[in-house]
Amino acid sequence: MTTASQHTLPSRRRAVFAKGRRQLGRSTSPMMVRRVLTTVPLLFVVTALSFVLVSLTPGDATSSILGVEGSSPEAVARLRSELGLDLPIYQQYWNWASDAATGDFGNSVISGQSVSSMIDTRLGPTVSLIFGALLVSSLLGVWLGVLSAVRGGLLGKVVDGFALIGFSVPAFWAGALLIAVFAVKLGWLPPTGYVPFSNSPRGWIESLSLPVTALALPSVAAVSKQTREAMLDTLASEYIRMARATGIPSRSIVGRHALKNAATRSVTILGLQAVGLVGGTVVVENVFAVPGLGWLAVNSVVRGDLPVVLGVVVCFTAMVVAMNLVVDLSYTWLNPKVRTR
Amino acid sequence: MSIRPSSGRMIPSAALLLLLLAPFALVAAACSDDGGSDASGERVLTVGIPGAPKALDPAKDVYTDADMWRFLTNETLTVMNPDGSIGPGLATEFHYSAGNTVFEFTLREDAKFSDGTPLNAEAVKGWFEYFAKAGGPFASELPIKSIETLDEWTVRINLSAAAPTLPLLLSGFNNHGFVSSVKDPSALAQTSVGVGPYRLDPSRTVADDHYTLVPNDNYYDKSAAKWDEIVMKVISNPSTMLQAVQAGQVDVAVGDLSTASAAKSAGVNVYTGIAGTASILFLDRAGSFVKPLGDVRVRQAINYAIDRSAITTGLVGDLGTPTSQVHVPDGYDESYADYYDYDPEKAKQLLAEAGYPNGFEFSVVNADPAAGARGKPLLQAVAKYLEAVGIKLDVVAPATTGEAIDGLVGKKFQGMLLGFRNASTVQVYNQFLAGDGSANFLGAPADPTLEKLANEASTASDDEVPGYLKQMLQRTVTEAYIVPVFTFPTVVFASDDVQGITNEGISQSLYRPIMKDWVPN
Repeated sequence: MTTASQHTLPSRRRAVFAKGRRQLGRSTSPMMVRRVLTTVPLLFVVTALSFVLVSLTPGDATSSILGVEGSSPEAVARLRSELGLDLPIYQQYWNWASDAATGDFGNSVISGQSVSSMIDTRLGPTVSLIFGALLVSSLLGVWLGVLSAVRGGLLGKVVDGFALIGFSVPAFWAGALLIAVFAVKLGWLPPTGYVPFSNSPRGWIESLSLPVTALALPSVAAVSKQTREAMLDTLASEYIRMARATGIPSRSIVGRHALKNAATRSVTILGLQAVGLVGGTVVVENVFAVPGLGWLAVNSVVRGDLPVVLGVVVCFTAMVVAMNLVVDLSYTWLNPKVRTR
Repeated sequence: MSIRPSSGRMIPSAALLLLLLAPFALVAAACSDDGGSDASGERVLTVGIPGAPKALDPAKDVYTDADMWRFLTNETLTVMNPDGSIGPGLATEFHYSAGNTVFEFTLREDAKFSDGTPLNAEAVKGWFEYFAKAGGPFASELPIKSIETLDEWTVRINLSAAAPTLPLLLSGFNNHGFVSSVKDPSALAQTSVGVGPYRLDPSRTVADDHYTLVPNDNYYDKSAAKWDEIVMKVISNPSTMLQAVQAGQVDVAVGDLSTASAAKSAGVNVYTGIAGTASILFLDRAGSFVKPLGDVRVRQAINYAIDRSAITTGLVGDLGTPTSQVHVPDGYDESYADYYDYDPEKAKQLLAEAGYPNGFEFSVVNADPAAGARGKPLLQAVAKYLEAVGIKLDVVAPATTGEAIDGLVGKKFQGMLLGFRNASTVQVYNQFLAGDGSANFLGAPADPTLEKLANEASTASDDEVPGYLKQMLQRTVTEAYIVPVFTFPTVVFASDDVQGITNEGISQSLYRPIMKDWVPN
């Protein structure tokens, strides 16, 4: 028995594909423009909020610079006025914002280094971590989900159990355990640090392996569970049963038809996880001594280093916006009938 | 109805996402920062440190044990000997005159900074002038009136007030002695420019992550650099630090109280030296806010009321020693170490004599939130003992140092818990006990006897000064201005690849260049 695809002429296949792509173009251009336009006010709101929150916490950069022994009232007052910390909050924020709009994010109040250079050196490790964790989550998560949906039985229960563990194990504990086993006991991977890709691609992968694993654990759990549920739903639907009845091979049904329709839910959960990964890097970077943005974020908040805090906030916001955009774009690609605003 | 299969492309969602996320990978790959700790030399020493210096410029940095490697890049004008006495460093000879208001020293003639400029009187004068204007926490500590260069190698410092402790201060204390070239002051923010066997390599340094030192070609003693490369790696998580030593990623690590016993069980070499003395300092020793604290009998009662041995064993085990005296390199009197024994009956008696048989209430803040076991838990333990004699202690433990300082400057607390790390009698007096002390937050006037001793010490000759300092510290103990509880250690883990590390050395890690003794095995 011949399958339906063998009757489809190449030209018709191209036409179907082209039609889908036109639909894609029609719905995404206005969406992207809208996204870019809303990002600017979003950045203002987020940075202003961060500014206010950090300013409200007791203590400021002067205590970090002077320490307990140096904080005589005169020294504190002199330093505060030097740093411009005695200006009203809205004026301090306006000074920062007007500079930032031209691309000048200022200098660290504590070390004097330029914020842009501080973020530059630390962006690579964090992005590598997040990208690595997303890659692992999507590939491994989807694969596990599909496998357990198709095979079912014991594997299904294993995936459920794994999901539970993945959700409950805190990243720092998982990290410490991974280091103890793979770095100390077996000596296969380095326990800490980050090797840039430009130095040594192999070193880059080795130094990222354990942190990415610790970071990706909850995401893999979430994605595999969602994928499994979505696949089970899809595989039970009528059109799949019809497809089976017409003799389409099982692999084609699962890999092409069912997965494409179930993928929407996987992509949704992946998008949600991606945003959570940004916060997860803070813990993972601490445990594995990775010089990334997460560490910078926490440290600068504790020390009251406002310019650095705001620079990091802008960076994180941009990352989250970009990831959400990618997720929304992929919806439309997966199913051209879906239009997202 | 016929079923149409989907169009010819088969794109699993995973591959789709891979494509969409590829830009991230490109960004990550393109972001080039410098190298990690790839060993290009044969003998590489990797040292794990829990924190980074706040600023590479010694004139702008605070004085913490993150800087124990600063001695490798910046030799000091004077050098502390293992016994605590001060000897020559870059200054081969030094002396006071005119009642300790004139300090003169002569420099060695063969020293050059790592940028090639010579170390001479002009350069040293420039350093002191730069230090006073750089805005760091110790900028106005030295009462310098003027500096003269008597000839190419001799410097005379005219002081506006007697300052007998210049030799100590120039040995590294509070960074004055880490002479750097100020030919290009902006360079000091990026790298080290001192006279030392090593220099910082800024191309292989990422601030707050790792600092790479390489041998300094301009140093006067070429054989002094025992390593081809020294890498200081910042690892802030204590258990990760221990694991890094176990995995061999670092050779030496400045560890932490919390992981010391785990390290011993794991078979790692553990060295301990005294880092400081966990103590409660009475800010309100004049009794202006809580009257009872102005009475010496009350303060002594508090000292008698606590069982130091039990608290020490409970909180730090055998890694600390109970003590009634702050541990300092100058003025310490061994016989005063157990001045106050545990005697709650005597405490109650003293309180009754002073007129407070029913006790009173006061608050103490933990000034170092990162102190771990010797922070809030210590205050809580002390509070329990004080409760037994009728005194209610309000324990305040803010989450950040900034919050603590805010409250201190706002005069909210009558006492503070601190570690007196790397302290000296002079510093304790100047910062906390003097009337104009920088950390005398409640403005309590100085004890007249202490003030008199301090003034006499300032004009005394070199060999008389230690006697005065001893008397000062003894009075601090008998007048109970401080409640020391126990000394706590700096803990260092080391692999067998490094030798020359000693417990005594670790105690002096910030006073002397002990890292020079660490050699390959």
